Amino acid sequence: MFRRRSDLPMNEDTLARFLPWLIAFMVFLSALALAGMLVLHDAVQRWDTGLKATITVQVPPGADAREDDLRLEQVLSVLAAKPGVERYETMSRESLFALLKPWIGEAGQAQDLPIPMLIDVTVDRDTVVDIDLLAKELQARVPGVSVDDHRVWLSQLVRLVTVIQVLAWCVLGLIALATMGTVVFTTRTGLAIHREAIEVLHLIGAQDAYIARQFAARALALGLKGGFLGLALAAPTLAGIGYLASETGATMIPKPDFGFFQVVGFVLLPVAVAFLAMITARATVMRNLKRMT
Amino acid sequence: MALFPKGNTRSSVNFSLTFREPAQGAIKVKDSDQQSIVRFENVGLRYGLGPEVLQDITFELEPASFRFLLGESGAGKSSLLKLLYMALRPTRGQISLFGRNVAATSRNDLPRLRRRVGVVFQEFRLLDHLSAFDNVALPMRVAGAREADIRRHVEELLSWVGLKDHLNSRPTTLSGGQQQRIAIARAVITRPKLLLADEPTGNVDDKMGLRLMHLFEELNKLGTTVIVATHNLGIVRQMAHPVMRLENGRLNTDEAAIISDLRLDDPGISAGKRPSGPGFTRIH
Repeated sequence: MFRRRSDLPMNEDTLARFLPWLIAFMVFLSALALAGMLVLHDAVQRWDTGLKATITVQVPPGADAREDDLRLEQVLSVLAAKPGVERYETMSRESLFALLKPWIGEAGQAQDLPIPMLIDVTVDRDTVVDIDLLAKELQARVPGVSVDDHRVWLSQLVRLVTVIQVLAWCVLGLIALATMGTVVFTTRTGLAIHREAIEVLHLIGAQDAYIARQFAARALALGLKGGFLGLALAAPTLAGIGYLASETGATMIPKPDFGFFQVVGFVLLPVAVAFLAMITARATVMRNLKRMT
Repeated sequence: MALFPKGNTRSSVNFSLTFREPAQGAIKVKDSDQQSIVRFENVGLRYGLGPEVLQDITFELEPASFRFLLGESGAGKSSLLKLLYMALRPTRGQISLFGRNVAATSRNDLPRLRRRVGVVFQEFRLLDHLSAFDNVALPMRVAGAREADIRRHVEELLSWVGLKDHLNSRPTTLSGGQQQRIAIARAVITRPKLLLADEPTGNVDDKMGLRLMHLFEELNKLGTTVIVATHNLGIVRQMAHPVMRLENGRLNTDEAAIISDLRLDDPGISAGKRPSGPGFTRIH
């Protein structure tokens, strides 16, 4: 199937010369879409792991430090007695100041600034903890206590990312359709150009499959050539995006950092596109030749 | 350059015996000695809505027969050959090749049937981007032959038709006569059961034309049925094979009338002795 010799002069097709570039562009876009999907998927996994099992309890400040300690002690006693709570840790004032520093600057260092106390709580993943009930119990002991359940906003974020991933899949689908359309067009043009030679091949006993193999092999070769060209262009682009992401310093912006299997996925992308081109070319030829005598 | 090796037809027979039978695939075609190779029954052909270019063509050819097909330009010779090599389907009537009704043959089976038919096209129809070698090799490649066999047979045959030094030449760089010999080599490389030649001597001198016709005769002796459409009455006289003639789309199989009309047996024109036409069966 992949022999280099061809009975049809397909190397001379002007239109076919553009096919590798078109496929390179498709693979370039596909690689970006795939990278986006992988990065988002990775980010969701990371957020899910980090935040799904944690809640934050916020204790409002009292009139003085003694009342603060009393409130904190009551809240911690409730948490200690609550089934499903694996671990809790009160954030130090230094940590709180560090969190607030971007907004209030050095003013946060003032000892008289009423800052709520925060408690990081890790709950057991296997135990269902009723957060609303926990909040009511805490508020009964210490009025004004609030419980932030990260799972609520995380689920919204995951939903948003899922929508983006679906859109990325749609983009990949459209790219595949565009690739197929391009291959169909160039193949049909090739059939028209080589009609005379194809007729001769038919008359000396060539099966449609014999002719289709030649178009398919050509499409595969051009697809591989264009595909790896597109991937070669996508690699520095992704590296550039990764560099810009790391330069921003924002921890929420996911960085393209791919593992072995993801890299293999990228390498297989042009191969998959080339095979798609090959199958499309073959199907196009078989379908069109049926109309010939 | 000699078309045949020095000696005589002996070497050509030796050559022919080394031919490999073409791969026939799964198709079952009965072509025993009793089975007619070609059978036309009331065949008519028209192009589009035009008039019938072939009318009521009825004839039958037995295995290993040899026919000259004569006729004026436009009489329908090429159309008849196109029906024979299945490039066209008749608008009426029935054609059987190798005992098989062509109309009832599925599209998938047609290629295997076509591999049993060698065709020398009037305009050669060589693939210009391929070398002489690759052009001649095409029917073997299409039939799935091994490259080693292809190389051996193609080189042998091209050498035999005097193109040993042009194996890698593109047809466009060769003369009309050389292209014609490539076309003939391509048609006979698989030793077809039916060989159709449309003006095979049109681009070569008489001497070369006669040599090419001897090649057809050798194949004919080995069992190939040969139909040669030609204007070259000199060749027809010298080869002394039965004739049939297309006249305004109708096939005249009355050989005596054709011979008389064209003076094919005029001893003053040719020394060829015309046989009575073995292998030719008139249906009516």
